[in-house]
Amino acid sequence: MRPRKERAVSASGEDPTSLVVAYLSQLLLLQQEEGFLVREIRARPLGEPPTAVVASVRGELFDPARHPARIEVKAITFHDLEIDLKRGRARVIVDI
Amino acid sequence: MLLRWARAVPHVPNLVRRDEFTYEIPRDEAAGMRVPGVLFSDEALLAGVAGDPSLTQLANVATLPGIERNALAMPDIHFGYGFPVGGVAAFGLDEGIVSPGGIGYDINCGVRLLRTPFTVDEIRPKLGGLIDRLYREVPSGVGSRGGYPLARSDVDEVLAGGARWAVARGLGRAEDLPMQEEEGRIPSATPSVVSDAARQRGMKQLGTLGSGNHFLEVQRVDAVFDRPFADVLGLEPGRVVVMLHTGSRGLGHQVATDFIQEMDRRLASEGVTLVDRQLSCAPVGSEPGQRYLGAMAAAANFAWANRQVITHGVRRAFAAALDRNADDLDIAVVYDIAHNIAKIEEHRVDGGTKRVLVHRKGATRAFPAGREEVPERYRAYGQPVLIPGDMGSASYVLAGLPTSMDRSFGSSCHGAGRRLSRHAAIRAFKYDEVTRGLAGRGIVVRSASREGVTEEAPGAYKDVEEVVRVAEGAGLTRRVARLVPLGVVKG
Repeated sequence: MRPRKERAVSASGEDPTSLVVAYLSQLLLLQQEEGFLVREIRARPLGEPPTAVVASVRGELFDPARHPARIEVKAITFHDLEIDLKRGRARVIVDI
Repeated sequence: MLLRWARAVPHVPNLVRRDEFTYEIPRDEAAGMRVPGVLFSDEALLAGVAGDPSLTQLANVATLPGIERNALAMPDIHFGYGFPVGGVAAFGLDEGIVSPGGIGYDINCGVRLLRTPFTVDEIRPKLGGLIDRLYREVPSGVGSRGGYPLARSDVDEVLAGGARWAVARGLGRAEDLPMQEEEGRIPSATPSVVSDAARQRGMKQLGTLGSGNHFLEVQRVDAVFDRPFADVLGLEPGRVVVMLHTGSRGLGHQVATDFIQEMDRRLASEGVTLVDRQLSCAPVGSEPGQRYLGAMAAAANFAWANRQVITHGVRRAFAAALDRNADDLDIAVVYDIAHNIAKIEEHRVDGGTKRVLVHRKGATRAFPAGREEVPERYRAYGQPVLIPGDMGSASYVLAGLPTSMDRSFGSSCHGAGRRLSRHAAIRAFKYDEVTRGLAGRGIVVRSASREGVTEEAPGAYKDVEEVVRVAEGAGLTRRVARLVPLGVVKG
């Protein structure tokens, strides 16, 4: 994947958990709606703890010749979602 | 109305055996359970769910407000998000809730069975070419699109019209409609509440199978258990039929995503904490509850339109492969069933009758003979229930039994049920071995991806024979006919 085009993505939630679900759902939608594959992300969280995010993502459009599609993500779930705010990590389970 | 319930079920719940095929999670097993959890199973199937979270999920469902009788699980129960797959729960319309996680992401995922005029001997010599044609006519695989692309202005009509929309466009026959659950259309759908994002995802995907466990299979009738009903269904041994399994594609996934998040936000703002946020819900009669039901019905209609458009593709593929005119080919809809949906139905509750909202997630409606919801031609026998097996074993046609009404709100199982997750299956099986095993038995497979085959390897599923046997023993459905695969198109 090459960072050829740029898109703006923003999301908000009631708390960091719902923010992560909303934000990843936006990224999934970008792929599902227009076939935009995300390669690079610059994201700025807002709030303490974060409840919103503004991001600029770069990537390119899906090209079946170069992008082997193996598994389709249907949705981002809340199931057992874990967030480590200190380390800036989250474990998210997606429905495939 | 404020929803409140206690945190519940922190551990694998205790199961008490009630009779040969019925197990119960007693109400006092966990704080917050309003009713017992009831599971139809046997020792062999239970061994398959030991250690998986699906029983905890069943107990979680029992904590939801307004739940009637029991939280139920069918013999093919396995892990889901929020509700277990194989979960059934009914809620009072005044005091109960609607939970998008009780319907699932793939709204109106379902199965349709088509009867061809051909015998297996007529099809066998042309099978390879036929499967190739089907693979070309019905787009499948990850992100599949291109079946019947919609203009933005068409989407509302599809969401309102369901299978009827497709037939009006010449993508089917009028006689296809009465042979479908709800005749392929829920009239109360509200297209206007379906988000732009959901519409965008659906526009390019009508008439496509998708990936995952969705498939299109050419099968032969292998055995008949209920001769009179099988005769009415036109299923005699050796007859070639086509089964297709798909749903509302990205449109339904997005409707579910939209409402799970919206309901989660509302609960958070009311200070309600759920045992599992994936169970987010709203009172049935509330504005968001009603809006979800309108959107769900619209997505369900999209799924029926999708299966109808694919039916048209199947007819074209048969005509092309057999060098016949599609209009002269008698390929008829036997039945079309939803297995991810919620419906308002009248049931016996507490000695009286009551209208309740029945959630069925990975579960089918299985009404008995005599119910007016059953197509007239089948009414003396019961509603057909279509059970897709894995691609190496068998699929089943069942019929609803009278006892299903009191035991399971007129519901039954929906498939074999996974034994291994998709990920575990990809690790456990090799593509070459799976396809060689199938080819050794004369089964032709075309797939858009290798993963599409390995994740659906026969060994990834529970034994469908065991599932339908338990469903019969528990008084939910009886066996009518067994179907075995000849060729498979996989996503």
